[in-house]
Amino acid sequence: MKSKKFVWVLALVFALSLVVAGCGGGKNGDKESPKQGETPKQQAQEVKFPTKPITIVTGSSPGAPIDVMARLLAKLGEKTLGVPISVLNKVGGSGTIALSYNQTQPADGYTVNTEATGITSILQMAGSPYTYKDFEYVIRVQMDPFALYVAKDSPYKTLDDFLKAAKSKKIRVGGYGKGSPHNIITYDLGKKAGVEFEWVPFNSGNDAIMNVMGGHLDAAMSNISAYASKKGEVRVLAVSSDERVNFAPEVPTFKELGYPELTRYHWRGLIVKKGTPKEIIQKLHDGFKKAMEDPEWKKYMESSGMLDGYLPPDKFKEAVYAQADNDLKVLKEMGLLK
Amino acid sequence: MKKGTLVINVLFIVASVFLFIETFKFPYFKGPVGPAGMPRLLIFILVALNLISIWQNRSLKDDKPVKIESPWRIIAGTALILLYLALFNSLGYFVVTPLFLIAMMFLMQVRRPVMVISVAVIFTLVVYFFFYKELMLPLPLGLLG
Amino acid sequence: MELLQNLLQGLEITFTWQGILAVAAGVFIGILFGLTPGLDATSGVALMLPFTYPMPATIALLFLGGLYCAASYAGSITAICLGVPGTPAAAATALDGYPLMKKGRAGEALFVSLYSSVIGGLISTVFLVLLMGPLVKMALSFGPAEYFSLALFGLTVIASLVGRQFIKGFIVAVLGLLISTVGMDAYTSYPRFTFGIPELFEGISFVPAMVGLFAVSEALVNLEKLGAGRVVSAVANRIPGWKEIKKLHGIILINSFIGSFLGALPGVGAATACWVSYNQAQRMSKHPEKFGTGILEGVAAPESSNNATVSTALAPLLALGVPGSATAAVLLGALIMHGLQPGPELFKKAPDVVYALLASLFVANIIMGILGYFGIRLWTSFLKLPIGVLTALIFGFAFLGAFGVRYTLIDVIIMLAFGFLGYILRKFEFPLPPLVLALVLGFMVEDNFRRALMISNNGALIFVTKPLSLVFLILAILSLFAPYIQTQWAIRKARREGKTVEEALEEVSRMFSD
Repeated sequence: MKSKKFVWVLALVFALSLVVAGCGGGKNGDKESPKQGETPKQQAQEVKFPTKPITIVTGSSPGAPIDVMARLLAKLGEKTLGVPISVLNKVGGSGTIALSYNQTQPADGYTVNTEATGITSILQMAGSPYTYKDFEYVIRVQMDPFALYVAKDSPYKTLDDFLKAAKSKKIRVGGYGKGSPHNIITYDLGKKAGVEFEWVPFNSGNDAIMNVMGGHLDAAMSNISAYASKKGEVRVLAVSSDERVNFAPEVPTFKELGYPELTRYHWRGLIVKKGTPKEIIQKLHDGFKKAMEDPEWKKYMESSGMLDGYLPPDKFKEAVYAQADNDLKVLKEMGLLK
Repeated sequence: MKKGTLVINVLFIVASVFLFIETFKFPYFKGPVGPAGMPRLLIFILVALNLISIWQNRSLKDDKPVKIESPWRIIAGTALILLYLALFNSLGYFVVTPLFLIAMMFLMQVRRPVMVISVAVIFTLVVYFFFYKELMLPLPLGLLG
Repeated sequence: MELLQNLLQGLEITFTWQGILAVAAGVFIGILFGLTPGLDATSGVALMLPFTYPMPATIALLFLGGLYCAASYAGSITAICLGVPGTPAAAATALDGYPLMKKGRAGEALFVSLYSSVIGGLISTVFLVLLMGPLVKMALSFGPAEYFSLALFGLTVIASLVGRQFIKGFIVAVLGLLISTVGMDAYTSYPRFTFGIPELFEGISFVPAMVGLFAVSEALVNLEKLGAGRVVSAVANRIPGWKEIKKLHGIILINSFIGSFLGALPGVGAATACWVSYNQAQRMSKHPEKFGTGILEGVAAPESSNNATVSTALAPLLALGVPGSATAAVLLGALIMHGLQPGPELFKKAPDVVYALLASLFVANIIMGILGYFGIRLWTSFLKLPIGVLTALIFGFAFLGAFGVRYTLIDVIIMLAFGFLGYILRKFEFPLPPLVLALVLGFMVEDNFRRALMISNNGALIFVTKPLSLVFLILAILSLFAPYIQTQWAIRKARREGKTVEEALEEVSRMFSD
């Protein structure tokens, strides 16, 4: 019975590796123990960050606007932070999946999430495991105004046409996620105009715009940046920025069309897990702030129709908490929250 | 009556009942089909198919009952896999992987030490230099870290 | 004429030494990614993206384009040699490729797979260059209803995969659909069947599940039986003659068209196309009963189709900035990173880049053919390794590939769970392909069904009032009952030939035996 002999060999291998594993655990413990005796302040001075690769986690599929931002920040941030930065796509569930992933990682600053306006809208919905309070805010990076898309041969030439039509028939507007910022601004538009839209969630704004172009859907609420690659193929009725956007001067703003309350921006920024040390957050902020001064970054911002949205950690956090109060109210009105 | 198939059918039905109860936790949705709609439909079909299977099974002969030819090797292999998982993070990928490969080849009765060791070492080195160093695949370093 | 001129200019850029080197390097690395179970074109392009930052935009795209083509082909190598598809797109190839290897015809299967892939890739590229506008228009005509009906049609392929194990086949298919509902629900953000495990919120990742079902269960079977019944013939690397190849041209052509068409649809990828094509080839065949036993048609159909999705997936990407596949989505990131905004304006602003990319796809397919041809002997020589070494390597690659999907151990665990599930199902003679197919299409079915009902003015009628959707529903019904119809035909034919009813029935039952 040769085979029996090898069971014993195997058992030996198991036992050996267990012993080695035990030693490994001990070693790690030794490394950490002297630090426990030090005061927090001493420890703070010693923070060497970053010493290993950083991962930027994004909830969008590769190629989506926020993913492109993450990839460019990763590329430029590698120079300013001095470590490799990779981008990880965690797609789905209205963005909560990327945040769930963040929460499974240690609060050491090596897992940075890209986040956007949606953090205060979707995450407070019933059943969501994490809220905006479970994160720290590193830097707000850019703003991308909302835009209302219809097909290029659509009977709705202006926002006015569109809203008039909505009074007499059911109009379906699609966009990213349920209870998302796009969902909220669409709801607000309907409320201000005295109509009710039916919201159809899609996996991405691009999907919704494709459905509009194909005549399957009346309109899509997405961001103006998506227009850059579809100019001439689709019509934008209005954009939510304060002034008209440089690369699409033909598109009027909601404000000039009589809806100043809809002047709001979809913002994008970087966040980390709550409990990440302040020093590390500051270092991340400094690194990415510097990256945003790179000429390549400026060029990208210009060509993609993004607006600079820089805010430092404390101001960023303040803005998010203020927005959260407002969104909570709207979500309750929409019946998404109790 | 094929006993093995019957066991599997019953397991499917038990799991279906469990999952069906789980669907009652799903939230209400104002729309044509809610989050529980599709799962419930599928569970019904699954139960129905398994009942049909059990019914058909009555008249079948258990001519070649399912048996594992060398159970100890499957058990040893399973243990090896579980051990690999358990030590993956603490020992690190580049320590457990060659050990696992060597043990697995031994288990599969490859009796050429030079081949066994070179296969394990070359595989690990290729992963280290190409995937870890070049492509920055974040494999856990464990002991080596 | 202008198009030709532009293309020639593109070829000029490709035919510099940097250009050729970039494409060849992409093809070479792509083959390695495709070979490895768990790593595919998407993870390959994504992992390689940072490498291309310092390169000029054109060179970077040539490299990534070559990688995309080759990775989509190379999944078939392990599918044929080990019965373990290297990429989801090669899952259908294993059905006939692996039995061919067992018969000692690995070389033939590998050559046919390479040949079909190259032809599929070239035809798809011609489609992309000549018909980009119409392809995009077609993609736009697909709304939720159309996608649902298409997915339903895809699911009917199960009917041809279950063979004699009719009920068992449908049980595993429904199980697959049920598994695909695990995770966050897009319409309410509620995490279904996740039992508080956050890693499951995004659902069961498809790649580890497939690697588990095929690779790990195969390795476990090897472990149990020490690879008994494995025959590696001395002529394993024989390459088929031109006469045999010529017979396959019809199948390759049809399925290159099918693949090119499906590739342009965002939301349908090579992993779906390969099954649709396998089904088509079996349905149109004069000897459907031979599929699954190891025939070259069963390799040619999925392989021509899955590589044909590659080029056309770039059509909506270049025209509208909407990627036609997961891999194309990563390529979109590459374009924007290099300061190129896809869309109608790209053709005016940077025609050199666009046409170099288009021209390079022709070159990439040809280089893939050459490198792949020299590879065949190498792959078949690996088969001479002891089964124990191969099994250990299958485990090694499967662990690496599963970890590489999301860089987390949970995917390795999911892979192993599916491996043991697959092993048990195999033991009790449940067929596995229906489960894999259901996992590919499950999400598409539910998501689009619900969305279609939301945008419908007349409820479920939307599926029959939209012409394209209706076409796919009719195809689905035909496909579902095709085995029955084929049986009736066989009985009639047998009767005409003067056989008794018993003989005829015997022939039919042989048709459905494995």
